[in-house]
Amino acid sequence: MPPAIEVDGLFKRYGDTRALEGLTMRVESGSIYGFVGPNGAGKTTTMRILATLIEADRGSCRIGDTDVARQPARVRAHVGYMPDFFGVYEDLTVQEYLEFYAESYYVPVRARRATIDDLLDLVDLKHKRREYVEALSRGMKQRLGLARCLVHDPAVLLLDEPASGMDPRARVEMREIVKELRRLGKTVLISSHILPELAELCTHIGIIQDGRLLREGRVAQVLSDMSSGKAIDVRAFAQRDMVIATLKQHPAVVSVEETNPSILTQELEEQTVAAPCQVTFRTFADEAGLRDILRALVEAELGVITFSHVRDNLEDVFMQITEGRDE
Amino acid sequence: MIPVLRKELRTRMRGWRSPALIVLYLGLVALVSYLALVGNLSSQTFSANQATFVGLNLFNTLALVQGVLIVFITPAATAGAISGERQRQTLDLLLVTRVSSLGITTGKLLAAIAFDLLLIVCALPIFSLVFLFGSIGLDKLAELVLLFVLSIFCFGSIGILVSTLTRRSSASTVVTYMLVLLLVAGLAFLSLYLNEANYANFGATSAPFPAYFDPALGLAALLYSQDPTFLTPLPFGVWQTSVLGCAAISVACIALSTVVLRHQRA
Repeated sequence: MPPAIEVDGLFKRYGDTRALEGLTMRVESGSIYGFVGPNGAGKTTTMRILATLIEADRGSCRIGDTDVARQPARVRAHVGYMPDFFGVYEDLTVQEYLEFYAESYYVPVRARRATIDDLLDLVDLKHKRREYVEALSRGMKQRLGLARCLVHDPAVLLLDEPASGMDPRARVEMREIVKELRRLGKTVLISSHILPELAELCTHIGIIQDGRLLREGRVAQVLSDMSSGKAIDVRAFAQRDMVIATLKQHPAVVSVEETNPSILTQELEEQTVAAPCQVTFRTFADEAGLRDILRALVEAELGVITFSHVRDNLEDVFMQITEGRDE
Repeated sequence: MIPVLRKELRTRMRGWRSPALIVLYLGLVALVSYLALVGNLSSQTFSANQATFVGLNLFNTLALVQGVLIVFITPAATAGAISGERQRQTLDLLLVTRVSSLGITTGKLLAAIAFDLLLIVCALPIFSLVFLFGSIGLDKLAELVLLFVLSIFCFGSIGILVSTLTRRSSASTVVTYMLVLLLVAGLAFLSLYLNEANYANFGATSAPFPAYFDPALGLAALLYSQDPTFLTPLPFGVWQTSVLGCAAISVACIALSTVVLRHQRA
């Protein structure tokens, strides 16, 4: 099966600014591909090229078996695009709004009514059908925007920050809708700044910086590839320095991360050894090795109260790969 | 084109603004008619010749007033057509649909000028007052309407072109008004100047080239052809050339707008 989206050596400049520097990526059919990168990394430019809104300077991209640059009209029929910021026709009702786009995508008249009904059901706006768009909340407008880009039943969806500006409840609802779209067989390319949500939602992930793709693959694979060993969290009734020194003496410990304690914790640690301290270390040790490290801490009488595995998250990996640049 | 046209017509005619503008427009045309009639019918009795004069005068006055109103109303209706979409951040969403760039520009143009055409149609009953005096035939009224329709297309197309080139509707409106005024008044002055120069140098009185593209000179030629006493003689040929000139400008502007929009679309 050909990939749903294939981008090969894409270059784009805006004047002196390089937006894309040979971007190459591949999105499998039926996947939810999280597109992550700092501001200005080239995510929106890539999406706009795929949506046929701008042309790349060099390189090629395909949606299914269609070349985006050569057959933009055909691509439009197969792609639904939701930009990061978009306006709505406030003086139309929800029904009229979707009817307009259905007509603009040449959805047959007979199928239009049923399609709009289904979409309003999907985005939970059926009860707002006759209301003017201006009366909808921001979250509802985002959901209406999602319904708009689904109106012609596209195989591929390009969602640029679909949850931006939404409250937590609306974000959860949006996430559920995207999951439902995957169940319906759609391929979704989604960018977001809310990395934990992407990690939960996506099957694949691509990390982009300075117009180049740095990592790509299944979410679990990228997380595992990028983790430098297991992260273990230790809490103990002992002075932080003693815990750190004991850990550093053990050959299986790769690094000890000295998380900055709060001022209150610092004061407590200075006043008494009875205040718990928290230290995280990284190791490649297996189960037996971990038991050995724990034994060393216990034998040093550091009053260990917890010794637990910390799961790496997408945020950590993202910061590691992009060398800590701010999102 | 059809989806854009349908949506635009729906939203433009919704609310109180459009009916209010129609009432205002008709009120103004009716008031002018009334004043023209009162001014000419002050005497208790008048001859057939006087009736002809009154009819012609009413027709000419209404034509000029409507011409001026068209110059001021049409640019306002079209100047924000594309830039307004851009400002509302809805243009991208329109460009990723399957409607062609030509469909978008013509849909926008037709929707915008449909209202102007509605104004002209609504004003026809007032224009028909001139038939009471027997001096103007239906054919003359049809010629005037044709010239107005082409002028509206011309001004509207200029508005659409400027609208595709500018980011903000306010800027688009200002530039469109400037271009329309330049077309109407600027070309008239240029044509008069060139005509004077031609006459002084060569004794020739043929219409200078810019005159063909000026709908105002077309209107003047049309009115002059019916009533040589209404305006000073204008040696600028016939009004039909202005109709063709307006059509050429419209086609050029729409073609250019489509190219610009297509370029913006990738």
